[in-house]
Parts: sequence; structure tokens; C-alpha cells
Amino acid sequence: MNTLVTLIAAAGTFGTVLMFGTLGEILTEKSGNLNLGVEGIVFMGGAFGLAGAYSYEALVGVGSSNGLIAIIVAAISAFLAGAVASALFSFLTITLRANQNVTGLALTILGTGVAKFTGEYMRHKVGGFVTLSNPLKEAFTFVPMPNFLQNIPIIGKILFSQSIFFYIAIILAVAMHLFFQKTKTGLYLRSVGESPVTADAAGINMVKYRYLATIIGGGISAIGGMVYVMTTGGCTWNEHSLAGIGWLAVALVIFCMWKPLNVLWGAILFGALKIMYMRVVLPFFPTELYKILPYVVTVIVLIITSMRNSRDKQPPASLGLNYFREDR
Amino acid sequence: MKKTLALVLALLMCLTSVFAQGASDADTSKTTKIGFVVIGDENDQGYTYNFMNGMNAAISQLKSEGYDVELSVKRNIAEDAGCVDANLALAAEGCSIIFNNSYGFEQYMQQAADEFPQVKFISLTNCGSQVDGRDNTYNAFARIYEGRYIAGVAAGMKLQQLIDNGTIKADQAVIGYVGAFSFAEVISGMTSYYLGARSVCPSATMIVQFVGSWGDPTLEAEAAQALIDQGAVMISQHSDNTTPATTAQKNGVFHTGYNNDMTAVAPKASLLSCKIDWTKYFHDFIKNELDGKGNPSDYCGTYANGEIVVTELNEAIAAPGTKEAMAKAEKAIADGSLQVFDLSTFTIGGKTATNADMYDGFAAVKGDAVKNGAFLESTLQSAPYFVGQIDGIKWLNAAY
Amino acid sequence: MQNSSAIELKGITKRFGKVVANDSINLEIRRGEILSLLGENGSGKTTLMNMLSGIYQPDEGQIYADGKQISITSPKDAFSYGIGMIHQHYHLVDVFTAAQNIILGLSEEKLDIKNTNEKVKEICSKYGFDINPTMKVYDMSVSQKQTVEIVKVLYRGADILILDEPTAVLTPQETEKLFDVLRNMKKDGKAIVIITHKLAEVMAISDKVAVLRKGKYIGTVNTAETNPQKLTDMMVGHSVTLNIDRPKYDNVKERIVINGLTCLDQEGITKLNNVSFTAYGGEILGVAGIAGSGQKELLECMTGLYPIKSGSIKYIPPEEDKEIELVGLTPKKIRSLGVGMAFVPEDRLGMGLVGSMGMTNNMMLRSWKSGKTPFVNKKAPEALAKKIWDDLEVVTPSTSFPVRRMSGGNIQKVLVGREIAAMPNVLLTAYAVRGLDINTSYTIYNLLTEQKMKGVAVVYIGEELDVLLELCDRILVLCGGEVSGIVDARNTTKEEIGLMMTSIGSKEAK
Repeated sequence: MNTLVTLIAAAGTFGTVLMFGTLGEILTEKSGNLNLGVEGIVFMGGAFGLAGAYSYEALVGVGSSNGLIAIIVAAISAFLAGAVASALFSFLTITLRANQNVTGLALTILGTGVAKFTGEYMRHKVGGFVTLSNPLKEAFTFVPMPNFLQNIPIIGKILFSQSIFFYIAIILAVAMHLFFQKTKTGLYLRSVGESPVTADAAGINMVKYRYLATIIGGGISAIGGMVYVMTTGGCTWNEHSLAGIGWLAVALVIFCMWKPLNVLWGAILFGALKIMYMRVVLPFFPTELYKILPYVVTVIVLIITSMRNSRDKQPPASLGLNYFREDR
Repeated sequence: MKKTLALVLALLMCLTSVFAQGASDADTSKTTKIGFVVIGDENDQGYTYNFMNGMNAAISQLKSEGYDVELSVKRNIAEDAGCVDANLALAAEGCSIIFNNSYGFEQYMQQAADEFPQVKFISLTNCGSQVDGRDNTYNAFARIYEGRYIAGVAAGMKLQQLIDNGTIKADQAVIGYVGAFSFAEVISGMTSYYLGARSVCPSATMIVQFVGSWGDPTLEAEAAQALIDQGAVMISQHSDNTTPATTAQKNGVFHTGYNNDMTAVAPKASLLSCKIDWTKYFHDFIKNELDGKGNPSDYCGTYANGEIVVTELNEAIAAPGTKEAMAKAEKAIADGSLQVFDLSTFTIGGKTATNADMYDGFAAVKGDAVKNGAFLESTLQSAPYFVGQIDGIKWLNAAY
Repeated sequence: MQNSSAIELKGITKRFGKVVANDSINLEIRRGEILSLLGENGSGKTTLMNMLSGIYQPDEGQIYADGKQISITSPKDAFSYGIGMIHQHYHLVDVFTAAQNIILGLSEEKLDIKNTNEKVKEICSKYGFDINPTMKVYDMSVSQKQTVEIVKVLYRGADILILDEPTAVLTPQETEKLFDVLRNMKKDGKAIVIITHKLAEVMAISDKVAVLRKGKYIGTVNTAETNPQKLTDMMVGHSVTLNIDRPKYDNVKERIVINGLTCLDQEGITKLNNVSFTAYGGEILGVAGIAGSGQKELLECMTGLYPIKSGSIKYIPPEEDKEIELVGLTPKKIRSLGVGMAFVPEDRLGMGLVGSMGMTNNMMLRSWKSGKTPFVNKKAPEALAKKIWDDLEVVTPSTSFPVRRMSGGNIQKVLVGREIAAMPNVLLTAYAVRGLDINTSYTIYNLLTEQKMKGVAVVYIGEELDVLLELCDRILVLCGGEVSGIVDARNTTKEEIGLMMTSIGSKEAK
């Protein structure tokens, strides 16, 4: 029992990172843009988030740094990095009509490169590990729940002992769900992704919606990278640490069938799958097989949903396709 | 117009690379060129970073002694056929001594060694040179187990302190080890670490989690967390990243690291790290070649020579008396009075260990390492070959 | 209020490149009236209405609303003038409900579904619709989707409704229901325009009929004062002599016998209903009919590309006495038996030509399987390409020049040439001269006649009645998926065919 509890609790840490990455990409994909550059964006979010917090600390001096401000600075830096990268992607695909898949992959390569360059630059400047001071480290991993909640057996460890980002992610998921289902803007955004022709004919500004959704979505995904570096990564820049997170997020978007509420448990599941082999050792089950579990699960989900052919559980109909009015 | 422009540009590019190549050939007359093929680059702040520090220090030391040497490095080489090309390129450039820093490079390095029999090739951390029938190949490593033992002493002192002041009970002195693979190198290191700890904290036990990678920050962090969740209060690692250290600090437990000093990253948790200092070896090897003295085909650095070291102890959190305990152990190892793998200090399966229980079947050089009641690691070859699974250490999983 | 002028078009002209889609058209649309806009395919009806709905802008001419000159530059503009168009292909988001689709794009402040549902119910009961606002579009039938489109337009307060071929996909019952609704709207003072080519419906529902032909405005008549014959005359115009050589082949033999062929499309709509006829070797059988009467489906059924509900297609190979049933065979098998198809679709490159490849490679697409080694033998396809290049005078720099960069006419030459080169026993062509200039068209006619004189059974689906009358030996007329009649081309008139195209006749010629 304890193994299961600690497994789920640990999954929550990594799962939080995935939540941001996935929610951001869902927002983008709902508008019909398939941004495969998430991997690069997450990398950039991690690098610039850390750079932001580090610079803040360097600016005010180690003793006087405020945890909350550091978190905000890191989040904003990460968001901006992701937003800028996504703006570039949007410009290429929406205005210049480049192929979305190719552009997304190029963005992955670019984003990863920029991030690693930034990390290396910082390392040279600092002359060693790029990391934050202890008080800031604690601020980032701070659990905002009162002790009595944390001490509740089982749920206490799983639900009430997570970092602040976990709770922000939950709020974000619910907010996104409400946005899509209950607001006018959300409805219009969905129509842009489902049937651009219809949206255009109804007078909706396609370009504006796609741009905004992609840029904001990219910013949110980038925050995921920052969360990773600050929680699992221990507020230290490790070059290879962010690798693969973006791709997991892309798979997770499919797994959650583009519904924000599913991300809440889907991300925990994927997080658990990633680390399961360290806690649940099945005899004869090689480590490597564990590591591909998240992807295998995604493929199975894809097969099942396409077999059932339920209309509501499909990707936005116009996903990945650029829309040109003249083509009508 | 566009076509001619493209053609001119392409031609220009070809010409510049030819000239660049020529430039590096120009002054091979007097300078000795040293080649270095590395996996990854300094940004890993761990494995290759450590090697590069040693190499750069050795080169500047040689220069200040009046030797005319120059370094040429091929970075981010993978363990595949590209490694052959890297070695060949360095040899063609005029390098007379070429080092390779990853275990998986050796077989590729050997191919290049055959093509350039006058050039010396050194495969670090591997063991093929004694048996490959070539006279221009070499190996080198260091007695990791000695450093690990000393680090273990520091860890053990801390554990004992925690027991003595009531923070934990005697049977809660659990060490969590984040290992990469279940290879001899890792097993040898972790066992000696454990033995060092147990020498000052008799109730210590160890649990090991193998990650399946030399460096994967997420998995290393998760492994550390898993170990802590299962009761570990001291974390150590044979892997490249800082996440075990930061995870340890996050959970309020302690840590010793590897390859690099991690106290800056986890000042409240990390006591010290164990690493190999390659400066002396690189310096001596090159100097011997230049002086015409030659080098042994296999070399294993020792703690006494400063080739395997521990970084500066984090005195703010170390137990009182740690420095003295470490110095005592260092002296005993140096004068031979302390054998790390003293058979009387451990058992395998409840019984005294035999050579067969402990000697790595994959080692290039085979033999019997048991002498006078102790297993002599790193004497028959420089790469570790201890694989015994001693009582007190529990493997939670295995990874190859 | 009644019968006042809602919209007036004066001298409207629209060009697409060299093609003049609308040529100086005058039209008046009044309130409280249903106007039918009648014309053949390509006569310019949809283009004209697209200008009213803001999708295109006229090159010349003016639009007046209630006597004032206006300009409509976008769909939003059109709405502001009270113009709402219901297109042939619906603009609906499948995964949304009816209500969500209806309010899409409106600048209301908040999303109030309950309010929307109320308003929708109001509109429905006012005009006699019946839709459930919370139903998802993907669960709806075609007729219900159309209703949503209409309500969408009414919700925005449209006074002038334009329906483009509204009954194309409706059953007779649904058509009646729609007409009831339209009558209600008319009584309410709305102006309604129906774009159509179905004469029966025009007579049933409209007050006035405006006719377009080849981009020109022919005239407007009161429905009460006209009849299908007169309307057909206006639609198709007088005969034009083309001077196509039409030799007679002696000894025609039965080649394809079709009996009771019926097929349905994906949505369950009957596309062909009990079609029976015989195609003879040595004859060009023309197939006439308004676009969408089942010609395309007929061809595809014969070549194994369309699922058949019932009926048989028997093929009698030359020099042999047996009958081979084609229904159920794979397209490849049918081809190998000698049934070739040259279908030129709207986009020309769709059926069997790869745009980025040159002529030679496109020839190879058909013959690749006959090679003996894994290596590709380019000699035969190259020779074929060169032959077509010469014979048909295809304008292309080389046989490796990408096909998609050739002009439309030349692409068609390649298509037809390739099919003929395969020496089929039955050659099915559809719209082979669509968009071609006179000279090229004649080349194709001669090619087809050549084939006929070799004993090939040629089926020619075409749009131009003048051509059909002079090229073909017999003409089969399809109307609404049924055989309206088969006549001897040498002994019939354009008017007779025109009539058969628009309503089921019963003439049968052997």
C-alpha cells in the first residue's frame, strides 16, 4: 500500500510538469494548429525560467531574494520564452502558410538548441553549476497546504503534499475546461479548429484566434519546463534533463482526447508509468519495456478510440491543416 | 544568377575547409599534438567535464615545464563508427598521443590504432590493451574503490551521529545508492562505499536502485526519491547528474556525490563527492612519452597519488570528527594496513566470499584476486572487476 | 411592404481570368416573393449569388438595396443588409449542437444557451421548422442540417434568403416540408431566391423565374405564364452546327449490357435507380443530363469504383460469345478485361495523374506491374508519351515536365491519350472536352470517332448538347438517377433532349 501511495505522490511531481505541457498544447491544438515544437518550447521554458530566477537573485543579492517574486519571475520568463517561440511558429504557419509538421519539428530543434546554448552561457558566466540559493530552492518546492491536511493518511500524501505548481495546474485545467465549454470565445476557438470554413463564413477572425491560442498555449507549455527544472531538477541546470518531456506531452494530448479535465489524471498516470519500474518491480519485465509504457498506452488508446469512432472524441477536424480562404 | 552564386559559395566553403586543414598541419614540426576523443562535452558538468579539467590542467602544467604540447579535442562523439573517424582524423592531423574517454570507444579506437601503429592510443576506463596484442594501445583508470571507501567513512560518521543524537534508530541507518548499471564498475564502487560507511557505523545497511542510464536527471531524481521513500537517509550515486543531491536536500536527508562537487547545489545535504583527478596521469603519460621513457600498457591511479580524490568536506553539516576518521582511513590504505575488500569484514550469502563469487566474468584479464584474506581490486587490470553481492546491500532492481 | 424591391442588380459582371462567369446581369429580387434562378451547370447562378453573400466582389455593375447603392465586401456585410445564403455544402461544425452552430460568430456578450434555445424555438414555431437545439450535428439527417442552416440565417434577422440547390439531397417528403416553410416565410414578407435546375420544382414553388445561360441574363418570367418547355428553351438556347465528322460503323455488336442498376451514396441517397441500357462496339453512346443526375456514378459503377446495391453489368468481349459479370470485380480486373475509363474531374489531376510527375512517368503508372524485373523499364512508357505528345500536339517542354504545370487542356489530352493508348474495348469518357478550346476539342472528337471505327464501344458523358447531337450515334438521357430516354442522335432535337433532362420522359430508341 505504501508503495502505491508513494508512487502516486511521486508521479504527481513529474505529472505536474506534464500537465502544463499538455494543457498548453491542447489550447494550441483546439485552434487547429499542431505545434510539434513543444519539445523545444519546454526546453526553452526550463532554461529561461531558471535564467530569470537566477538573474533576479543575482540582482537583489542572495540574502534578500523573495521566494514568491522568484516564482513569478521564473514563470513569466518561461512563459515569454514559450510565447515568442510559438509566435514564430504561428507566423510561419498561419501567415506564411508553411507546413505545420515541418515547422514544428524545426522549432523543436531550434528551441532545444537555444535552451542548451543559454544553459551553457550561464554555466560559463557562473563558472560552475547554475543553481539557485537554498531559500529559493525551498520556495519552489514549498507545499502550500497546512500540516494537518498533509498528515491525512494516504490522501494527505497524494493530494496535499505537492508543490504549488500542482495546484496551479489543477486550477488551470478546470479553467480551460470551463473556457471551452461555457464561454463564447471558447466556442469560437473550437469552431476555428473544427471547421475553419464555417468559422470564416460566420465572420470569426480565424487568424487572430489561431495566433492567440498558439502563443498562449506555447507559453503555458513552457512553464512546464520551468516547473521541471525547479522541482524534479532541483533548481539546477542539467543539460539533458528536459529531453523527451515535450514529446510525452504531445502523446498525452492524444491520450486525454483533447479534454483538459482528462489531463488531471492522465498526467499522473504518465508520470507514474515513467517511474514505475523503480518502485514496482515485476519479475521478467525488463526496464526498457517500462520506459516505453507511456507511448504504448497512447497507441492503444488511439486504436480504441478510432475503432469506436465516437465523434466527440476525435481530434479537432482541422488539426494540422492550414486554412486559406481562397481555397473555398 | 542564383546558380552561379550558389556554386561560388560552395566552392568558397570547400576552399576554406582545405585551408583550415592545411593550417593545422602547418606546425607539426616541433609541437607534440595530443588528441582527445570525448563523449558529450564539458556541459555535462560531470563525466567529460571532469576529464577535460584534468587534461587542461595537465597541458598547462607541461607547458610551464617547457614542453611544446598542443591539445586537439573531438567532442560529442558517440559510441559508434563515428568514433573510428574521430580517432583517424586526430591521427591524420598529426597527433602522436590520442586519448579516448568512454568505455564504449575502445573497439573503435583499436581500429584506428591498427592504421597508425606509430601513434599511442589510450582507452580510459576500459581494459582491452593487455590482451589485444597491440603494442600501441593503453588503458588507465583509478582505484575508485579507495575514494569510495573514504567517502563512505564520511557518510558513516554522519549516520552514526544521527543515531547518537536520537534522530534515527540504529536500524534506520539506511543508505540509498543511485546506480547506473549493474556493472563491475558500479558494484565495486558501491560496495567499497558501503564498507567504508559500515566501518564507522556498524548498523548501516544499503539499498540500491539501478537507473539504466549513466545520466538521466529525471530518473536519477525519481530513484533517489524512491530510495528515500523506502527509508534511505543518506544518498549516494554513481551517475552523472545533480538531481540525487537536490532530491536529498528536498527531503531533508544527506548525500555524497560523484564526478563533481555538488555542495554548491545542495549545501544542506551534500557532504562531499568522489572523483578521479586525471591531471597527474595525463601529465605523467605525456611526459614519459616525450622523454622517451614509455608507459605501462595499463595504469591504475591511487588515492595516495591524488588520482582518486574526495572533494572538500562540507564541514557545516559533517559530523564532528569526520575529517580525522577520513585521514585515519587514508593513511591505513596507503600503508597497506587496511584492505578495503577484507574478506573478514563481509559475507556473501552468509558465508565467506570466494573469488568466484566476486570476480567479474566480463573482465578482459581473468585471474584470482584473493590474497591474504582480501580481494585485491584494480591490481590485475585497472578497470574494476568486483561484482560480489554482499550481505547488507539489497538490490531493488537490476539494469544492464 | 409587399412586393417592394429588396435587392436590385444592375450590369453585374464577374471574371475569373479569361472566363466571364457573369456578363452584365440585371436582376430584381422583391419582398414577399419566391424567385427561382434557373440555368444549366456553369451558367453563373452560384457566382452571382456569391456576390450577394459577400464571398466575391463584382468587377463591374452596382448592387442596390431598397433603392440605395451598397457594396458587400464580406459575409458579415451581407448579414448587415439582411442577406442570408444557405449554401449547397453546409457550413456546420459537426461536433457542435444546433444551438452552438446557430450562435457562432455573433457578437453577443455572453454565451447564454438557454436564451438561444428559446429564440430558436420561437423561429421554428413561427415558420414550421422542427429542430432540437441541443442535438449534435453529426446525429442529424441532411434535411435537419439544412434546417439548422436556415434557422442560422433567420436568427441573424435575414430578410432576404438565398438557397443554393436546396432540394438536391432531399426526399420528396422533405422537399414538400421545405416548400411549406418557404411559403410561410414568403407570407411573412421575406424575399426568397432559389437557385435550381429542377423545372418541376420551379413550377411548384416560385412566383417568378429568372434564367441565366452561359453567364448571360436571358430574362425573367412569371411562373404562372410559362411552362417547362418554354423554360427549357430559354435555358438551352438554339442549336449550333458544329460539323463533326460522324461516319457510321457497320456491324455494331453488343459490348456492355446494363440491367436494373441501382446504387446509393454514402448518405443513403439513391444516385442511380434501375438504370438499363446497352452500349455497342462501333458506336458512340452519349450520356446527357444535368450535373448530378448520376453520370459520374454510372461511370464509376462500370469501372468497379462504386458500390452497387443491385443490378448487373455484363461485358461481352469481342470475338467471344460469353458474358462476364462486372459487378463485384476489382477495378484492376475490369481494366484488364479491356474496359478503360478517361474521366476528367473538376480538378483534372484527381483521377490517375500525378501532378508532379511528367508525361512519361504518368504513362508508367499504368504499366509498372507488367515489368519482369524489379527495375523500372522506361522505354515503352517513354515511347507512348512521345506518341501522345506528337499526335495530340500536347504543349509541354518535355515528357518529363510536371503534368500539373501544364495547361488544363493539355492535361486532358494526356489523360485521354493515355487511356486510348491502352487499347480498350470499352472506352468511357466523362467531360473529356471540359474547358478546352475548339481545336483541341476537335482533336478529341476525332480520336473518339477513330476508336469507334475500330469497333470500340465509346460512352461519352458531356455537357454540351450541341456536341452530343453531332458526335454521338445514340444519346442516353439521365434525370435524377433514372433513364429518362434513349434517342437516336441523328433524329432528335436539342429541345427534346432538354426536356428529357429535366423531367422523366419515356422515349426509347434502339
